[in-house]
Amino acid sequence: MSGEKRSIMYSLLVENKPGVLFRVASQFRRRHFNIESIAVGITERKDTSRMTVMMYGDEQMADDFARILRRTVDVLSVDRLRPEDTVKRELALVKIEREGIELLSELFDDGRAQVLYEGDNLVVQLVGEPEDVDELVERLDEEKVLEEVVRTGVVAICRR
Amino acid sequence: MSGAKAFVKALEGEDVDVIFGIPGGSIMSIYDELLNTGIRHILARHEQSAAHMADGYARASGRVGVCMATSGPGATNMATGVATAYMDSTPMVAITGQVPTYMMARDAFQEIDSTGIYTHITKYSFQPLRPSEVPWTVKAAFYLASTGRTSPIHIDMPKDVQTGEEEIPFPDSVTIRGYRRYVPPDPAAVAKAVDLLLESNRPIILAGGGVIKGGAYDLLLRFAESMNIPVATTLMGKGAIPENHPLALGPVGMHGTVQANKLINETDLILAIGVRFSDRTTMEVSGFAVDAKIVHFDVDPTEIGKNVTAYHGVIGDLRTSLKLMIDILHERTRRGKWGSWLKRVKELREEWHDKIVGVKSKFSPPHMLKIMRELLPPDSIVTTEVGQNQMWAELYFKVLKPRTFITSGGLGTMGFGFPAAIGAKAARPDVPVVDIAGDGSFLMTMNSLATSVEEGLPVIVVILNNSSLGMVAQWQRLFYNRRYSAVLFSSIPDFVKLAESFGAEGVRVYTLDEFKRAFTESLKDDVTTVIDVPIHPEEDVYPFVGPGKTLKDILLSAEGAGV
Repeated sequence: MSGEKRSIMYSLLVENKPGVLFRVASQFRRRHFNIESIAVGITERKDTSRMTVMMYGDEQMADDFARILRRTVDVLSVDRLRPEDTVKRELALVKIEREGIELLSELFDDGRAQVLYEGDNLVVQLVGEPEDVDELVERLDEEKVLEEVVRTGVVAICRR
Repeated sequence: MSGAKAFVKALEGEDVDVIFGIPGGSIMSIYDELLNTGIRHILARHEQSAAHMADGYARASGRVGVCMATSGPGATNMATGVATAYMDSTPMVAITGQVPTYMMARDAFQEIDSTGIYTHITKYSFQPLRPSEVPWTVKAAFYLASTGRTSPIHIDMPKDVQTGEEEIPFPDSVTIRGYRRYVPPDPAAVAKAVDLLLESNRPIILAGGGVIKGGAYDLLLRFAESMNIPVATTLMGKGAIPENHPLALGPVGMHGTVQANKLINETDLILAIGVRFSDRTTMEVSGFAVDAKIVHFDVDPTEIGKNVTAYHGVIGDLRTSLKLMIDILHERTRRGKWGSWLKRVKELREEWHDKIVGVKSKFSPPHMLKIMRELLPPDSIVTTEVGQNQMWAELYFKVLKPRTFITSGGLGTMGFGFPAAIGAKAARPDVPVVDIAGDGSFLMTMNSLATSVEEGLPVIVVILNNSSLGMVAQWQRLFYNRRYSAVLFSSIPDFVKLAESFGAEGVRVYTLDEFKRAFTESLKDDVTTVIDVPIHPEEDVYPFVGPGKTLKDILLSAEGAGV
């Protein structure tokens, strides 16, 4: 039953009402799956929310879990997002020390970072593929200027 | 109209004729409105028993059972009974009172997060927040409970939702967009199952509780007979085929019959119908049916591949799947060629079908179960407690009709059998109902004697009394060097006097003849009878497959005789 573990993403449409996140999260908890990332937001319909959920697992777990989520009342649809046809983004807000400003222009001249606030500290917005955000955060940490990180979790959409 | 009035009106709309429950502070408005209806209320003496009664009612009748309790301790007490029903997929609606919405999350008197608890032991937990939501909620609850994989549904009723008045709409039907019933199976998937069957040389059907829940037993029998396929069952599948039928092998599992456990390891194709491959059925999975392809039919898609790897899965309503299979086979007019397999099946069945193994005395539970079968009409209902009594019943009581064998298979809840018997009697007052009990289990819910006498719901309780927690004692004898830890009772109630103190009858028997007489008498009685049967304290259940073993490792006695 076990195969190579990798990152698995689901895109769920769910009822927009209290208790739904609890029901979905409970399905993961019971099976000792850690949710690596979850992002929830309302869709073009007021009564419907979109959840983008990421976990680690093998193919078998991924299939089983899709079935489990589909069976969950209040979950309207479940799509596996395959890396080859998915556009995904994550946003992070990071607080760094003031002296990090030079480093910032040096490290991030490609537009992935944007300064949102300048004062005693800087608040910087990082946007990109989750792996890019990982990398940027790591660099700032290595340079010992990083004070705080807040991440949105991954949102993703199928290209087709 | 008030929410409470709308609630009972909605229950009437679902043809509810009986509710099992206990009132309390936060459910009183609904209890008050019940007085204005024709719905019968049966007063339990513990909320766990109320849920078991609703469970027994539902399993005996095929209808949705309804139980009700107050908030807080009422809800937590009832949870064990609801979880029992959930594990065995009983259609049920469990109602709890709740503190008013404006008091919630303030640790109000008798407040507990019931929806938080019940979400995990039901298919869905509702909590309407306005009176106008009540009729829709009730309709949705019955719809969810009785369709797809049947299950308990919970409704938490805040007190102010009961007392509040507003204009209340009553819908004729509900749609729940996030709910899939998985009713029609894919005809191509069914056709592939037929192909696999016709290619096989040694097929077997494994029928589970889903066959009974899904009302597919008549089609199952027709299918098995037309193709000559032997039928083993799970514990929950007992009754899916009459166990005196030449094709019936009895249950597979830890306490399965020798013939079923042996043949499941010799088959090359298992048609698994409405089973969930519980660990008590498969035992050590790596050694389960190693030579067989498994074709798994179930209404719940998450069951396919959950516990065993299925070679092929057919998701959908079992009746439709079986009907399609019969139709396809009829068109092809092909018969399986498994003559030598059927010879082997017949040989094993003849050797083991009626055999009692591993008993220490002639006054043993298997002997009594055989007598009961002889004395009971075929449509009589038998419930069991949990432990040795249940496993003896699994092995030695031949069930002849669906919905007549009621046991806590998944959760294994001690104390289940007696209240479940009372619930079954409420559903089927026309047939005898017998609880096969042990003294340990019976003590857990014996206060239901009050309910049974008060409500005129007479059942027969046969206590196989070994003055101990017998199944644990059996394991301690076998696997813990006979070191008894917390299993031997030194204070034993006089069950005869106990029954009499409730206004029931009590009788103690010491021989098979006495048992026969007492049982025959009790069948004529219009009051509950407790028959106390002191058995050999070291009588153990055999055949037995030990924990961690495979179905090939069948023990026939404590001395380690195998087969």
